[in-house]
Amino acid sequence: MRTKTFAAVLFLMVTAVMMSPTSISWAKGSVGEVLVGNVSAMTGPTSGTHMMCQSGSKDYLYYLNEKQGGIKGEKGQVKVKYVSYDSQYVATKAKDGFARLRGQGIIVLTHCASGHSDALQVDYERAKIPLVTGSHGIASVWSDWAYGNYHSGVANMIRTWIVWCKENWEKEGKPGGQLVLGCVATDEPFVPLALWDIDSFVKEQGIKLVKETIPKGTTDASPQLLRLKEAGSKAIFVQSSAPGAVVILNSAKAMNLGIPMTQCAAATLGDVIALGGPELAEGYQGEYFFEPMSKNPKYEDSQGMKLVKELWAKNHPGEKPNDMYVNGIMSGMVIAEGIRLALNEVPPAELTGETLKKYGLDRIKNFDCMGLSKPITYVEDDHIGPKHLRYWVVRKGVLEPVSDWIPTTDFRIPKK
Amino acid sequence: MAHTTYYPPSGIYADSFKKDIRIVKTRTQLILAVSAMLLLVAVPLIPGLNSPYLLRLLIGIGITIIICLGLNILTGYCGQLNIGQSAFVMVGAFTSGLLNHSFGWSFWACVIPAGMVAAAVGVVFGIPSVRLKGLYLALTTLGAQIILTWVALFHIPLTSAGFTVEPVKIGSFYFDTPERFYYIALVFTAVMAFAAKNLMRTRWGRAFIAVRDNDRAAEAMGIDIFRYKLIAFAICTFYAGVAGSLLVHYMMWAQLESFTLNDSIWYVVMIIVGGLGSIEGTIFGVIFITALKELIFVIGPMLEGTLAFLPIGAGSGLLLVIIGGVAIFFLIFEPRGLAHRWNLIKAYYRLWPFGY
Repeated sequence: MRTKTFAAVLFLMVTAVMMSPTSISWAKGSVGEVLVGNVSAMTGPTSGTHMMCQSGSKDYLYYLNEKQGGIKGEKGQVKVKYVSYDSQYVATKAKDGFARLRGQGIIVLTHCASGHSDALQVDYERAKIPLVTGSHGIASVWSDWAYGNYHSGVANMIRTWIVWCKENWEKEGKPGGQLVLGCVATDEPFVPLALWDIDSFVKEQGIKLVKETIPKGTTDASPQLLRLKEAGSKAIFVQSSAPGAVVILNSAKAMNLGIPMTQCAAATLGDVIALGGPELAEGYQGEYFFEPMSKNPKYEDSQGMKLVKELWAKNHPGEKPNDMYVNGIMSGMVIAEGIRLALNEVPPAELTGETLKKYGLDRIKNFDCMGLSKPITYVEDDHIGPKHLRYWVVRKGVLEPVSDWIPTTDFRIPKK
Repeated sequence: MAHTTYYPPSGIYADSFKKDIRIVKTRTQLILAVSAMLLLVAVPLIPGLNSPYLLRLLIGIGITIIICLGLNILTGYCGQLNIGQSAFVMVGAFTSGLLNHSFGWSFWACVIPAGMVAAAVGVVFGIPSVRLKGLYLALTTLGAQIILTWVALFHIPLTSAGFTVEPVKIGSFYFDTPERFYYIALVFTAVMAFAAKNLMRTRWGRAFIAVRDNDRAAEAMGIDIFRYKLIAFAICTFYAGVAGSLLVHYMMWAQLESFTLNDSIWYVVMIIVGGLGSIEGTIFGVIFITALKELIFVIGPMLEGTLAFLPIGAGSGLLLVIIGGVAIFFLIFEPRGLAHRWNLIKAYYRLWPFGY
């Protein structure tokens, strides 16, 4: 009896899965409704960031459905239906997910994962479905079908910081005669890409960069920080996600390092404050391509930030603000703007990935996401996005700006 | 291990060793096997079953079956624990990808070298097996996962960045869609599964089992246990390498993040759930776990959409809980895996109505 029951349960489960792809016609986009797809890692090491990005884009698009009845252009109006798939940050799963969402009829894909941007490139290009990404990969940054709204390529994080440090040093009258900067990195997969050919860049800039690495999972970075200090580093760039940054900050505090440190865009200062606490993060700097949610309330909010906070309060009651949510909201805004522009040219029934690209996303110019970022303009061969960032510092648990918006460097890792 | 009392079909006698080791013993089995193959061949042509999503799932299952077959030969049949299988898949994947990307070799020229390079690396990491057993050996394979990933990440710029790989082609015909690549995956899976099944009927297969069951007794009977352990490592990692080659030519993109320790753990879970020391069990385990994962992936977001109180990601987060629970369930209640259940179902069918 047990055997029969076991077999029956197994059969039902497998049948349910096998049938599920065939029963998805309910979600097909009808006239007046378009499907936006999201393939993100809702589980796995990057899930925190990805969930926030997904939540932001979904909340914004559903907000438009509620408040305005959808997205309206001169030739019609559409409501958005948002469908998602958990990739676990596995490229093959991301591809499976894209196939599923494509079968459901999505006209645009969004996410925040550079690895996915690259692994999916051949899929979204062939399907002629544009990707609006919160994180360009090194290959997708060259793609005509990928549109970014975040940093201008992983290798520009440290490059832009070097330029900023050099400008400040020059303004101070070049103290010491030689600018020495430090970089401490974890052995995470993105780090070799972030430091791609950095030696050539450092040589061009005429400065000295001392590099140190800490193993992921270590609890002490004192030896590395000590070496950077002994080398005379004037400032230190931290190439790490938030857990690594907290280890580095702990070590810096224990040894009373006294050298300003800056977090790369792989994590937000908000993440570091949440993980390590405001006291540990005090004085820590970070780079933002958008207006952070965790900034000091004394600074006036842009229209976009007011909306971000409203949506956050509604959809995440009682939760602490998360800066990556803004990144997701921006993806939603770019998608909505693209659809709005496309609907000025084609009726809802003709809204496809191709028409969205041609009449919508390719025509986005000077779009500042209601003041959340510097204006985004997409032109041929350049779908990078804002291309400006601003440095912020933690003061008493909130962020204060330490720079104005500055243009990022425009390095691209060679196309593979 | 998947030892189950075997009930041969009524009237089927194994009056010679050759007959005893036949894979297909009855006409019914032959008809069912041929029908199953025909059905699998026809899947891309059947409306409702030929969605790209489903075909991608089936391709993924096929490639994972190859990986797990190798692992089951080493772990299930030869008794050598390996928790770094994903690293050997990576070696095959990058070997094939680099040969294609840098030298323009086609998939057909890359696939065997990919398997052989993975096998060579596997043998190197298998050498400690002569002195180490169980968890200690597992740690050396874990070391393989860490070392190989580190080399790919920090010492080969191309593999750390990811690169494009050409799809499989024959002449000017490209297998670059799920509908087309499905047949490549099907053929490779069938051939590799048949080879694994056959291997267990050979001298090598029997030596593996002897080493697994009692290596001292095996040595006393004249089996060179060091040699056979290394052969098992080589076969296991050859399978991984071939699967890696298939994977990158299917994805048309080679990326380090596709080969993690997590994947290695999944492969072990799959062969435990399916049945250690069973070719059929490997197939069952891969299908079962993949189906379970997909079920959760599909239901998770639906639950989140329907039940407003669930936080975003909660549905998918259930995956780890459920899969962990399933692994524990099988270890406690069905340590011999799905293969054992399958044998019980067959026995029930054959003995009916005298099952009790």
